Amino acid sequence: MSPVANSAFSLLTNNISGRAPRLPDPSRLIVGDGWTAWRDPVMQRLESLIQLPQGWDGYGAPPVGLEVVHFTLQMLKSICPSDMVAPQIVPGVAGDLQVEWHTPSTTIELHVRAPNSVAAWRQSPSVPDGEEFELTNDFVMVLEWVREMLGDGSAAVATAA
Amino acid sequence: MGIQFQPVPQYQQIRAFEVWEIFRDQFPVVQEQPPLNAQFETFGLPAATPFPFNIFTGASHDRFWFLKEGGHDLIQFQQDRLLHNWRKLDVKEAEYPRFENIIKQFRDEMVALQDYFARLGNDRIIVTQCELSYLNQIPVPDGQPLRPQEWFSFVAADQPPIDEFFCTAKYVLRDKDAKPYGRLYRESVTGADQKGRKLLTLNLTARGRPASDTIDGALDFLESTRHMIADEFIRATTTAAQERWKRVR
Repeated sequence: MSPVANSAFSLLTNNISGRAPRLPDPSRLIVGDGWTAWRDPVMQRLESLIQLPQGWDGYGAPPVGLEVVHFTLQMLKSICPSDMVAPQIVPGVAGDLQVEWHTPSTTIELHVRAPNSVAAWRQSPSVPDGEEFELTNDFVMVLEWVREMLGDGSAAVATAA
Repeated sequence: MGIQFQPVPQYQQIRAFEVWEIFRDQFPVVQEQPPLNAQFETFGLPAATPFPFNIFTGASHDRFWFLKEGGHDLIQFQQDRLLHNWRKLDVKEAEYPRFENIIKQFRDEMVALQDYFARLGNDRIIVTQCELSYLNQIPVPDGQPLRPQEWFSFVAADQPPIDEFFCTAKYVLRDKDAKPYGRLYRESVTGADQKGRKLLTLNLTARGRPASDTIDGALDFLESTRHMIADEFIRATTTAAQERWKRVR
């Protein structure tokens, strides 16, 4: 585990013999390597998108940019709880991509044009006419959208492109 | 210090020699290194354990080190990164050249690279993330007990001697509207130097999105976070340690 990943203050080994100091009780136990339900399908999809052939759309579109893929993955880690269903991910014609979730009542779409350039749109019972925002690297608002979607009793489903 | 930027369309790895030519007079030694993955500070859920993300497309760009004689000054370049590092290779040699001097050099290097990309037909560099790091190494004499509280103010004064030490703290950096744009990391960990001597390190790193994605925006980020790092250094270290570091410098 990387130093950055583990924010716990860790005293790994104690050299003291005789008087053993009492270590603090653990406040939490971290198991595994960050398992998430959406990880594998998202990774496979992103990998396929950066390997699209030049002109995959018949009009000269490039594959999705590697920097867009890295940013998208980091964005998803900021907004997807571990048991979240994988989103639909659709390539754009300018090396960009769009991330989508759809439920019977809610749609969330995140258009990643480039790192730090995301158009976020949703339609839900609370905003039936839809709302759209321009985002950079702060996805707290989208996290709230996701929580609202997951809390409405409908399982999020990824739709076909 | 360094920037991450959007790869420019007209640049390919075969042109890396041309980039070295820009800096070669001052940085005559070159080394090849594995590339760094793109990194982004984003905000939402608390950061979970990172999972590996390795994609092999068949076309990757190496990272190149351009070094000055002696190896203290170092430029790192790959298709989406430019970094300037200064390293103290031995405790008794090389004076730290001061932040003001390094950032002036780094500005010139960013401009030179941008000018080169422009000659290939590209627009300006679009900066996606900046990073500033200070790494302090504290030698731990063999056989001596490690007492991190002698160096770090965040360790209890009555902490018994320990064998290994590992502590990380993160702070969110916010703009004037309280919106997050980056993080300040403080990592303290035991390790070893190239000769196998035990060390205690203090690594302070500020990383995030600049307010403007231009070279000037990157310079503003580096200037402002430099002061945050200095403040955290004062907060995190003991008065005695600060005195000892002054003597070492």
